[in-house]
Parts: sequence; structure tokens; C-alpha cells
Amino acid sequence: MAQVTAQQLPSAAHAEHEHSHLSEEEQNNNLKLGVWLYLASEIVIFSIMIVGYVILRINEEEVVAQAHEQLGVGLVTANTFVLLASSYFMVMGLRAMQRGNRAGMLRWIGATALGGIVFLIGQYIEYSELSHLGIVLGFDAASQWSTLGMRFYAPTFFHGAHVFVGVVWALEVLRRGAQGRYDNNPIGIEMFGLYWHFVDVVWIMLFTLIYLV
Amino acid sequence: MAPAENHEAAAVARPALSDYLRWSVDHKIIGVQYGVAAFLFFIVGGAMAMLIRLELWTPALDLMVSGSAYNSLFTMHGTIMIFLFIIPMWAAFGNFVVPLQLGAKDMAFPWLNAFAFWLIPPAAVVVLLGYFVNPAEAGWTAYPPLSTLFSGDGQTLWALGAHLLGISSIMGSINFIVTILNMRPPQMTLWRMPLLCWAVLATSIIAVMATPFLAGALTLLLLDRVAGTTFFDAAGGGDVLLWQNIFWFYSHPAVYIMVLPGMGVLSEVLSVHSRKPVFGYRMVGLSSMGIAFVGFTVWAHHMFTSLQPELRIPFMITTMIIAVPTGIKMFSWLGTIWGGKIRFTSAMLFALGFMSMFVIGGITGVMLAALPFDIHVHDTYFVVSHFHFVLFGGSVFAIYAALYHWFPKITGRMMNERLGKIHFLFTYFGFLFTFFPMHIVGMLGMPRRVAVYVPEFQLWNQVISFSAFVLGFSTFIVIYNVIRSYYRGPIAGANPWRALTLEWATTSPPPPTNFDDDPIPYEDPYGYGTEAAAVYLAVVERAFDGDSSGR
Amino acid sequence: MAEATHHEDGHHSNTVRLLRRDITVEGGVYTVVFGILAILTIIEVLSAELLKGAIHDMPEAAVLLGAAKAVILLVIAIIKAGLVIWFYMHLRDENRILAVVLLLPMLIATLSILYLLAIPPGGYSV
Repeated sequence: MAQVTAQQLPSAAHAEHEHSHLSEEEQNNNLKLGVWLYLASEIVIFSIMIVGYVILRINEEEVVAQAHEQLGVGLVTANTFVLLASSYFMVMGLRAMQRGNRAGMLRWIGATALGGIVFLIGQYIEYSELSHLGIVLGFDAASQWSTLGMRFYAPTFFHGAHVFVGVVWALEVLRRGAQGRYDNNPIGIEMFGLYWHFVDVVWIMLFTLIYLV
Repeated sequence: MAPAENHEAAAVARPALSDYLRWSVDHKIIGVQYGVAAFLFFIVGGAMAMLIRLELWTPALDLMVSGSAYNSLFTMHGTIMIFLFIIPMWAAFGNFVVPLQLGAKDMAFPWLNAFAFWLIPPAAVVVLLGYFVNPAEAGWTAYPPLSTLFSGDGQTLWALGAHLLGISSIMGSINFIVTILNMRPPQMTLWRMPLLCWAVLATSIIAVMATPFLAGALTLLLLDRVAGTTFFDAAGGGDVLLWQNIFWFYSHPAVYIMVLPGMGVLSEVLSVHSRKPVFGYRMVGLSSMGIAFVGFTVWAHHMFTSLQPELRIPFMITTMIIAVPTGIKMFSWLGTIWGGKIRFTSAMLFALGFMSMFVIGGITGVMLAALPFDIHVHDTYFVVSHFHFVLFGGSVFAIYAALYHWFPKITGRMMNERLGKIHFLFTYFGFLFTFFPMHIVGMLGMPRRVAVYVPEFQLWNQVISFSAFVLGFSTFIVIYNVIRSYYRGPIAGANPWRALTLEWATTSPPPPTNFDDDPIPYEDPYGYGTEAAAVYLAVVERAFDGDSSGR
Repeated sequence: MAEATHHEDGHHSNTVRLLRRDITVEGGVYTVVFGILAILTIIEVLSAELLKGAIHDMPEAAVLLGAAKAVILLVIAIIKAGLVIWFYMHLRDENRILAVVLLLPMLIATLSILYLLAIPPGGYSV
């Protein structure tokens, strides 16, 4: 760091000093810890969403059983596999970049984004099936499903929104990756990976709690 | 001040005022941005409090057009003071002081830091806009069904704005945690950290873990309001208590978000201005962490009247347990000033004011934790008095102490001490006579959140209102003092209080990169009164103030 | 469970030691973990369906079977989530502080979920 005194520094010099004083490793550690803390806060939000459903599951067993009967587990199981696979593609993409294989990374992350898109399409099909059954978000006193709709849609849609954000992020990672920005420091891929795996972990829990139990 | 001194001041490179209006990633600029914005909201919220007190001058409803107008007024007063004043104000001091105290050159994520701040103005616009369209009326706690079935569209905007503020708070807190854990220079070990840093670390952990509860609850509330769901409506298969529970999962820990940094400030100010080491340094640091964790187990004491009976006693016990780490701090402060060479500076006076007021607020807190008593005074002015003693007598007094203490570092100029003492007297007595009588009317049964009351209470209420106006007036003194001192205060020099923590081991105001190299902290941040400390302080003085001896 | 043999290039090795056998596959430990995840998911879905049938056939044991089903499925789900966090999110070779960052909100969230679930439907009658 150059010797500077307060007098020599015009106020405009405040702009571009943020990356100058940290080594790449320090910066990477900061970013990783930051992402983990962000994910920690997400755990709490998802737990609120999940608890809304579990309350229903405990109190209105019959309604949930009927919905399971009508819907089956075929579609959602397929969707689960898609998301699990996309998580695997993700980690393989990071591995490829860490080995210096940019083309491989682009292929794997591209597959990840595709997995996310297929998942969202699956969710869309599922939602439209549900709406045919008359399961809607708002409370409907006349419907046999009563509050099932809101308690089901809130957590799954919130998760779907995270998948959507993840797909957008994946495309951004692809764009930057194609420019070679991760060749020397794949931290950007790793951060996205943490997010994407977290979204996968949430789905593992949602799948079990909402569709199976 | 003499013109010569003004000329000298021009040599101190402080950011131009216009820099504070622009996007900046410098933690010191962002700190001031937070501070000024929060203080503006303090004035707005304070003006609302004045209107509330004006309405309560007589027992009848006379100033307001309706009870609804009164409802929306206290709703906004609480919302602004908590979400837009106290929480951002601690972000202000945290931002300015913590990286300097650690010896870091900036926060871990400067860009995120700026972004978190710039979320606040739009969020504030959303919240305040609600007040002017069709205001929220459900209090800052927004209990359904008031907030779902009986409140206007302003409640929707209120929820949106609170959501944004929560996001801002989470971002800021993540930044603090990463900064404190990862950005310390090698010699700054955790157990050498100043206690403000410990307090901010504890606060940030609470904010990251608790604020998402608010975000989740607000999301469900918004769905209930706009999408026809019934999460909080028993008629639609929902549960009213669900909101109360989730809300207090957040909001009880949030009480500590609002007061823990103040406790950190107290340890700094009391130690520096009485020239004594902090008594029980490690225990104070650990008690911050203790408060953070026990703070998650006490929420239901806000719901003693709606809680299932068998859970009341457990929550009563946890609530009393949390008084223990708080008590550790109180005794540490007393032990710190005991036998010290106390300098009654304005900062010190406000710190002492904090101690006296916070003891009262803490004791009424333990009283309220006692179930039979709580049921008796539930929703009366006793409760209003209790949390104002904690949040005004605690947080705001600490904010003033921090302002007088760090203003020289922030601006390079000293505050006017005489005005500071006048400000203190007005604030102290205005506060005391506003909120102490509320204990009495509360015990006598005057309910809160109602614009009309029985005529017996009028005399008490006039005492309260008059004192509240005195308290409101005191704010003008500090505003005048800040503006005057910013331009004409005496030059502060690097270390006007002769303090040992690292923020004083650089120029006032510090240069954009804070320190030229990783600074080496003195072995004990509060090791006052030793030969070695005197030597260290002399070195700092020579290094930075060589020629300017003026203060 | 899978254990990466720590060769010179660590987790990039294609050889994984699983159940006392060396398995060599492209992607190494990541691929093996994916295989385990897939198998666990199949087991999960099958056991859910089987237990549902069992509950249907034996209504007198419904409570017991229902509880068993919930426990079995949740344990499998937690194992799966743990595998993703441990291997894919690289928790196994990160600073332990990250484990704290993860466990703290889980603890708080679990406690609050359990608390909220204890509220009877329709609230309390005091």
C-alpha cells in the first residue's frame, strides 16, 4: 500500500479501493462465509413456510391423503431426480473448472441450468393439474381442499422462485465463464454452487415432507 | 473559533458534504449516511410522538379526527423508531467504528454495504407512503386480525417496506459477521477485540438468525392480505397465534439488536472517560453472546395473556435468566467506573444516564417477567414505560453517548461540551418525567394505544406531555450542536480522549484506507492507567498530531 | 458411506473407496454420492408407497405405521441432505465455523417448528 496521507487524497479516491487490500484467498474466504450466512438465513425462512404445511398435515390427515391419492408421486419423483442430477452436474462443473477445463465446466453448468428449467416446467405441469382438481391458493370455504392450497403452494412456490433465480444465476455464470473470468479463480462458480446445492437440499426436505410423509 | 483555526481545519481532508449524497463504498461514508438518515427518521418519529402527547393532553378525542388517526399515528411512531431509527443508527456506528477498531481497511463487502444502505430510502418511502394513503392501524406489532381484516392498504405497504428493511438488515449483518471474523489483522485476536465489536458480532448473529422469521411472517401476512389466503385467520382454518409466535421469534431478539450495540458503546465510553480497564472484559464479551442465545428462548413472555397456561412458567423462568448476562454487564460498568478518574464529558454523562435508566428498565423487565404481575399490567402504560426506559433510556442515550464520543473521529472536530451538557440535562429530566409517571398511570390501569382515557388521569398525562415536549425540544439542542461543531468546533486531533482502541490510531477523520499498513493493536484495548499505555498514547500522539496540538 | 481416498489431487480423484472396495468412475466421489442419492430416493419413494398400502390394509395399526413411516422417511431425507451438504457443498474440508453457521439456524428453526407444531388446531381455550 502506497504511503498516503489524508491531505493527498481527494474525496473521489474513495471509489475504487475495495479490492486493493485483500488477497484473493482472503476475498474467497469472505465470499464463502458470506454465502453460508445468507443460506443460514434462508433456512429460517423456509422453516416458516414448511411449518405452515406441516400444521395442516398433522391436523387434516384425510385431506392430505386424498390429495396424494389424486396426484400420485410419479411426476414429482421424476422432478426430484432432475433436481438431484442438476446438483451433481453443478459440482462436476466446479470440478472441471478447478481442473482447468473451461469447456467441460460450460457443458456441466449448462446441464445444470437445463435441469433447473426442466424442474420448473415439471412444477408448472403439476400446478396446472392441481388447479384442475380445484386446489387454489386462496381460502375457499366451499372446497373440500379448504386450506390445502395455500399451505402447499407457499413453500413450493417459494422454492420454485429460488430455482428460477438459480437458473438466471447459472446463465450469468455461463456468460462469465465463457469470457474466461473463472479460469484463475472459480470462486464465482463455487458461490453459485453453494446456492444451487442449498436449493436442492431444501427440495429434498420438501419432497419428503410434502409429498411422501 | 478564530479564523486561524478554521484555516487549519481546511487541511483536514474530510469528505465533501456532497459525497454523502452519492453512492459510496467507503464504510466511513456509509456510516455517516446511515447516521444522518436514521436521525432524520428520529425527527419524524419524534414529531409523531409529540402529536400523540398533544392528543393525550385532555381525556377526550379532540386533536385527532378519529380513533383511527390516533391508531395510525402510534403505529407509524413505533415502526419508524424501531425499523428506521434505532436499527439503522446502530448500523451507522457499527459501520464507522467497527472496521477502524479492528484495524481493517474496510468492511468485507463494501459494495453490499452500500447496497444495504441504499435499500433504506426506498423502503422508507414505501412505509411512509402507506401512512398517507390508507394508513396501517395495527401497531408496530401488526397483530392479525387487526392487520389483516381491519387495516387499510397502508398495512400492505407497511409489510412491504418492513420486508425491504429486513433484507437490508440481514445484508448489513452478514457483512459485519464476515468483517469481524475474517478482516482482523493478525495481531487483533478475538480476545483483544474492543467490546463494541463483540456486541456488534452478537447483534449481527441475532439479526441473521432472527430477521428471516420476520421475513417469513411478513410474506404470509402479505399473502393473507393480497392473495386471499388465511394463514392467520381462524375462520379460514388459520391460526391467529401463529403470527404472534413468529413475530416475537424475531422481535424479541430484535430488542437485543437494538440494545446490545448500546451496551458495547457503554463499555467503550465508561472505560475511556474514567481511565480504567473494563471490569471483567471476557465476561462482558461472553455475556453479549449469552444474551444473543438466551434471547431466542424468551419470546412468549410477550404473549402471557394468549399463551397456553402450562408454558407460562417456563417462559417466565427463561426471561428471568436473561437478566443474568444483562446484570453481568451492569456490574461490569459499575466496576469499571469505581475508583476511576471520571471526566464528566457529555459522552460520559449520557453513558451514566444510560446506566441509571437501563437499571429501571431492566428491573421493570424482571417485574413484567413475573407472570401474575404481567397479567395485571398487560397492555397498560406500565409496559409503555418499561420499553421506553429500555429503548430510549437505553438505546437512545447510548446513541447520544456514541455521538459525543466518536463525533471528533468522524468529523475531525470536537462537539461543544457546554451545549452537550445542556442537551444532557434536558434529555435526562425530560425523559425521566415523561416516562416515569407512566409506571404510575399504568399501575392505575390506563390502557395503552387508546386516545381517550378517564379524567382522573388527566393531571398525570399533562405532566407526561409537558415533559415530553421538553424532551422533544432537547433534540434541537443536539442538532444545533452537531451543525455548529461540524463547521466551527475545535480541531480534535487523532486521539482527543486518549483512548487505546485502534480507531484513535489514525487521523481524524481517517483517510479512505484507514491505515497505511496493518496496525498493531495495543495489547489490551482497555489497559488504562499503566506506564505502557501512557507510552503507547504518546507514540500515537507524536505520529499523528505532531504539529497540531490544538484541542 | 463413501470415503474419498486422498490421493495427490484430493477430491478430484476418480477412485473412491466404498465398502472396502475401490471404485473407479469418472467424477470420483461426486458420482458415487449421486448414485447413493438416487438409490436413497428410490428407497424413499418405495417405502412411502409400501407403508401407505400397509396403513390402508391394517387400519388398526395406522397410528404406529404412520409414525414409523414419518420417522423412516425423515431419516432418509436427512441423510440425503447431509450427503449434499457434506460432499457437494464441501463442508467436509471447510473451516468448522461454516458448520456452526449451518447448525445454528437449524437448531433455532427446529426448536421453533416443534413449538409451533405443539399449538392445537383452533388455538387454546384458557
